[in-house]
Amino acid sequence: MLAPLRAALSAPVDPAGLVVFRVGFGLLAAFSALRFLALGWVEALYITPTTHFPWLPGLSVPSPTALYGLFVAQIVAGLGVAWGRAPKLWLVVWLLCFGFVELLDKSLYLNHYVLFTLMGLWMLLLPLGRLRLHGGVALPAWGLWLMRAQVATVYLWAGVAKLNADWFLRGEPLKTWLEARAGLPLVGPLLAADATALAMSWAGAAYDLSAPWLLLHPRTRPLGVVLVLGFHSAVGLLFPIGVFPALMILCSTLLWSPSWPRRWWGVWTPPSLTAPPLPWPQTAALFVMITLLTLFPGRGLLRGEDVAWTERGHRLAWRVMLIEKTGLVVYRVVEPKTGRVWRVSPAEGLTALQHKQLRTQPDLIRDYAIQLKAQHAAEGRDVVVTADAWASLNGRPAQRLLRADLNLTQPLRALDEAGWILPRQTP
Amino acid sequence: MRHTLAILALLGACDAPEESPNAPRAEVVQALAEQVAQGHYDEFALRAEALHRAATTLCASPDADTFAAAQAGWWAAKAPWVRAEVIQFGPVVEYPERLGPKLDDWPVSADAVEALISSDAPLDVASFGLMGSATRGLPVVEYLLWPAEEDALATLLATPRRCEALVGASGDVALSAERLATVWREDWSARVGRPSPEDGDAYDTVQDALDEWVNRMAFTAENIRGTKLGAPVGDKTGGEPQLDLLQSRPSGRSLTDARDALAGVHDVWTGGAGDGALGVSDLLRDDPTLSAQVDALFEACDARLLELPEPLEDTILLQPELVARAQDALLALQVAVQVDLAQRLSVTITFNDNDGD
Repeated sequence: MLAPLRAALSAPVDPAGLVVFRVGFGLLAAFSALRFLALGWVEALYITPTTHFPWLPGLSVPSPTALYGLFVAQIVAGLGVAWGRAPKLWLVVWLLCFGFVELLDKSLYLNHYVLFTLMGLWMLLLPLGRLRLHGGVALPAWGLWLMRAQVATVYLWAGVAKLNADWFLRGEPLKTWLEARAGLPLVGPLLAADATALAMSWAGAAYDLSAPWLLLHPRTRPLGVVLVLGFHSAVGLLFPIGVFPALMILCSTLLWSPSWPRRWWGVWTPPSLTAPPLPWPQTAALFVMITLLTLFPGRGLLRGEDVAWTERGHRLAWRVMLIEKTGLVVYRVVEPKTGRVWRVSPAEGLTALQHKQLRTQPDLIRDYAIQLKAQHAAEGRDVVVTADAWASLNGRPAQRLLRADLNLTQPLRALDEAGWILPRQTP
Repeated sequence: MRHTLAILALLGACDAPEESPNAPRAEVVQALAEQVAQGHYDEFALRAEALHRAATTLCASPDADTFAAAQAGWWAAKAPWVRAEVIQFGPVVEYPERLGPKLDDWPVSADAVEALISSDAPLDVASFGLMGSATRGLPVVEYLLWPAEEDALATLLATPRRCEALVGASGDVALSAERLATVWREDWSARVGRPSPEDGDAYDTVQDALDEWVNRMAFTAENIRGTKLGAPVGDKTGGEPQLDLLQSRPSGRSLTDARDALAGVHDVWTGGAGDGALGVSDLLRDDPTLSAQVDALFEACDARLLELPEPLEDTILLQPELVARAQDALLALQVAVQVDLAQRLSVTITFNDNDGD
């Protein structure tokens, strides 16, 4: 029964779209790293901070020289990927440099950087160096569909995440964000109207949920392209989200006909020999991979809680533009042996950006509590660290985010069992 | 899809903004700049000039009365200055004026002041204007008026240069205060009160300026809690009091400083006491619940600060639990401003300049 599927997965596909994607990907990777250097972000985000929130225990920020080297390497590797000579080698270099930098600080997490990384990883599986506009080999269909599955997953989970009362009935968080632009000439009053936030929210959800299908289907593709360009351009103008619009527009081209560049670069001649069916192990691996990449983002739903509030399962889940959250955290460090108490504002040891992220994200609040404990341990004190943490989500009244009586340096399992993150009270 | 577009078109068609009972944000921002900030700075300039006159009189005819008048002058001048602590933007921090350190570089460097008095450097007002912040400003005047020695007047009169320094330093304070009021009136009032993207300033929009004011409300509440009370009570030292970190300790004004700073935050909230005053609370007329909550929190903070016995350094040593109660009240106010109010007004909370000290 699966034989036709295996054959279809190995069918030759015009590589033109993927070649253009590779070039765009490489240029965007180089531009993104160049932007970091030009805007002084390497210094501001990695060198200046005295504290970091690494994804992996023990991972630390290298010397400034090494850091700058990593960014320069990203620029060179990005250009190498775009250039097309030994693109896999350049891609590996870029992935190692980019991935390492991303792992240095959880508080700097951005969805589109993860997408960037995953698209790079998936490209590594393709015969990238032999895919050319003319000559070379055909792109195997599974490669195209793997990339497409990734792009569609982003849109669809982004859409599914918007299927909630805040988004659909209250127009939040867009209402809050647009109200801040009420002072804009001409469009300001319109942006501030409740109906505008609602309309944009509904349109946004409809866009996310329909974009992949609109782009895949030849008849609706022109509309899909117009929507993609319009949506991401508008979002890019209204909100400071860096290279995200450009990356999404680039990724959306993978959902077009793979031959779309042929309009300008001549006709493709398919190979005369039929490709053998994709072997069983590769077929199974492909399905496992696609299943994981499509289902993993939905893990937050399994807990049956408001992910926007607890943020458990918020990262690596394509939950974009969903949260307007403000918060405040004050730590209480107690040495039980002596009864001495320290009150610590996390802002004292963090950058503005780190502090902004920490004050609403329970895992970062806990990470910093562990760092405070380590600081005291270095001075020979064994301390308990609790936190008074309040937050407000999408315009709701402030409430306590965490239990103030729990030692946050306990193992995570113990904290979970104790219900360390308080449930959201206001519906 | 066609239906969706039709619904969106319909929504767009009936998208006329409703009449809001709230004051327009532009008017509030303008009032804060032109009335609240200007009011504090004008008052400060007047009182600083009065302080200079009192110091001059004291040195011309020193006695207990003129000495008390000079001390009272310093105390009075400090009030509008601390009340304006919430305005940590504009000429107080920005170059070329950057008047904040010239007026109040705390803590005072006693060694630097004594070295100046012992030297033969000129001590007239103009000379103070050329000095670094270590030997000028309100803390220097406080140091001279409230020396550590028991007989303060005798200490002041011990050498003529000491009194000469008092007159010069207070005159310099008066000049800086006048400069502050003038620069705000002629330049910053418009930049903050009527922001425009054309002037290439930090505030392109009314929302930018509102963000600044609300951020400063939260940060000032935090500074009163953490710096004026928390640091001396030992928040950063495991409960070991750090009395050297008490602001205005020689004059015994530490607690009054805290109350004045809170009053300054309250002024931004209400717009002050003048006719037709507009403050941040006027942006919440449609949310009386939150508005009443913030009012109640201000009252609670005021009450907690008032229940602290003077002087604050004795209270820190003898009844630190009372200080902790005041800190808790201030934290609750900070939560309301930084979390509730910020969400309600779409304010982006930024970073307290005192963070990272």
